[in-house]
Amino acid sequence: MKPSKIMIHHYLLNAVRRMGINALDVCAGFGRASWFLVQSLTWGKGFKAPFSRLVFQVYQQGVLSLPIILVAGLFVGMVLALQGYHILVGYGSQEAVGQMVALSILREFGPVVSALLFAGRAGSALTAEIGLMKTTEQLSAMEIMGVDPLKRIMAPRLWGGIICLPLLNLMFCVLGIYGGALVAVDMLGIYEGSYWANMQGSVEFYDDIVKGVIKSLVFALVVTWIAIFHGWNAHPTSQGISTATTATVVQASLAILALDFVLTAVMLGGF
Amino acid sequence: MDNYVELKNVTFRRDGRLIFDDISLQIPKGKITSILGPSGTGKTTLLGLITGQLSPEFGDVMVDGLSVPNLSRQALFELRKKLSLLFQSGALFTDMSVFENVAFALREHTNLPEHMIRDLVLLRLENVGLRGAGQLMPSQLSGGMARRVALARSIILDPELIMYDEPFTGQDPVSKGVLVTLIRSLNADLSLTSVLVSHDVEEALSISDQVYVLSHGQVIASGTPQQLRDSEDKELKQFLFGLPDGPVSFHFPAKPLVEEVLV
Amino acid sequence: MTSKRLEISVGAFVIAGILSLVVLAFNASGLSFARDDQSYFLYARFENLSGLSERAKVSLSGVTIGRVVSIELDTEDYVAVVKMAIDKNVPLTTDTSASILTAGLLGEKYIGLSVGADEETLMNADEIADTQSSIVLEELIGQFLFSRSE
Repeated sequence: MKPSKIMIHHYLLNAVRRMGINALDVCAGFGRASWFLVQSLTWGKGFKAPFSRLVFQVYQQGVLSLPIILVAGLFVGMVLALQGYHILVGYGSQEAVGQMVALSILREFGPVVSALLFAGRAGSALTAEIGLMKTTEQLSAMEIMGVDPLKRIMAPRLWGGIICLPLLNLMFCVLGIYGGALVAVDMLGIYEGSYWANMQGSVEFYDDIVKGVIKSLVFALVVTWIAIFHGWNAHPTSQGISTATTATVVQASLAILALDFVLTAVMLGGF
Repeated sequence: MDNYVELKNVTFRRDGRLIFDDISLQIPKGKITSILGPSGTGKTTLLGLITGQLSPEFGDVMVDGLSVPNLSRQALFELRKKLSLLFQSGALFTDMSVFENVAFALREHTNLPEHMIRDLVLLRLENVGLRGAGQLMPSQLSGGMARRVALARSIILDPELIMYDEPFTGQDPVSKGVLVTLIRSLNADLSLTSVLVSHDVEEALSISDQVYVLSHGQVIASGTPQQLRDSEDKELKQFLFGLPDGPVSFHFPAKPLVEEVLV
Repeated sequence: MTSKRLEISVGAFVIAGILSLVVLAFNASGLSFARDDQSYFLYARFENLSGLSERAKVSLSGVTIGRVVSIELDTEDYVAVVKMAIDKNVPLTTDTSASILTAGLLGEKYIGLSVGADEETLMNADEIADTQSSIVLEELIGQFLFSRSE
């Protein structure tokens, strides 16, 4: 049966209508997420109890993420030195490998890779934990007892992430640069003085280190926000939690990479 | 007689499906009221309407004289201190011990000194027979014990209304008996208003002062347990006595057997 | 994990993070230069900066003794005015000369100072009179070609 013009018309109209509804849904989703973020940033009355909850979160998200971050930092630095050496040696500038490793790590690899690893490890754990609390009705029970779960459960986790990721990033960078030194000096024979002197001459505290930390802070907020939001919205079934956890890792990773471009563009030269 | 909770002409929809269709019910103060009905009729939704977690499409929900859907966040917060809800699974906070779970509301809403909190928690655990279990973690408790701890947790602030969501489901006869006794004695000792939502007919009828039976979003019967037992209504009879066939058909719609098998 | 051990590990974590920042600051970025109260300021005018940027090094006999703090254009004389922060412990004679040099073949520009024989030293906010602008490759080639043609 040949599709008549009216049917095609209908189909197109429906497609546009669905696009509109989807766009409004996305908008509504952002709205809910923003309201959620604002509510989760404050932690209600008192200081001692919220602080100890925060400390526990820093332990869960920071201390427990150390192994993966430190090992990753070391290997990233070592590979950068190795690859960098082989590129620079073609120009006779292999003495500049220290500078190359340091700038790459401080500006890009540090903030981005540590954020991606954090999203995968701590982010997914957060989503699963909160999703499970939702499934076992703990969040509902808390609400009915007159305690705002956003302030009691979400806020410490959000602030925990904001504190942990920049610190993890700094440790990643240290291990990366020293790992690079290990490869460059001990393995490839670069003069140790050149490695560090060249680096120090071209790495600016404000431009490179501080901006890297700023990137890390932005990533920390976005990744943790996405993680707790998906946990909060998860369907209270095991399928629902698994979907939410995957969504966290995928969306957080994409957000990191997209924001990295935007931040780098702004920092390097403004629009 | 005073009604602690009143639903007036409430209509509620979820995902387009009509859950309640213009229903009205009254929960009298100081008594135990049961809400019975087949699974999926929205009995838990009813509790959500009372606590203000859900809002009706039409109609009003009155709790202790206040109209719940119209309360401000602050007022709702205050009201919830007088209510308590016992979840089907207990919903204990898994990262805290039994003691801390029961003490939760005290720590959040009062400034009582530590020794007073300790005394109150132990008294409530005594009420439910679990005073020695204070240091256990929720993962170490059996289902029945978890529910009793949840019960202790929900009465710690001396609420005026307590709601039980399917308290007997999946329990062995001994646990059921314990819960039945607890519900009855707590209601009397603490002058509570209790609302029981369940599909365990016998247990619910044995302690209720008043019963509502819901089906397909409507109230199909209400009255004292004896009135319900004496009723002639076919649908009610099928539900109350667990008859396999009646208005709720045993057979899923299909062609006659003769046609399917012999042709 | 007891509460005490948890708190200790969190404290150690935070301290390690801050220490990392310090290590990076001093070992990776060479941020060792002292703040304002340990330096005095000197000015120098150049016709052509050609790539000298703010925070470039100022060195004497190869030793870094200061940084370029700001670069401005004098709109009356149309020269570049460079403000430098020099370590207080390094006195410079009034006939010190300043040149803009290149570190390595493709390296960055820096200011190299050369001390003279005068007895007096430059004070805060003084100006270095003897300056040599940076060497622009095109001009050099032009000079070479020009002189060859004679």
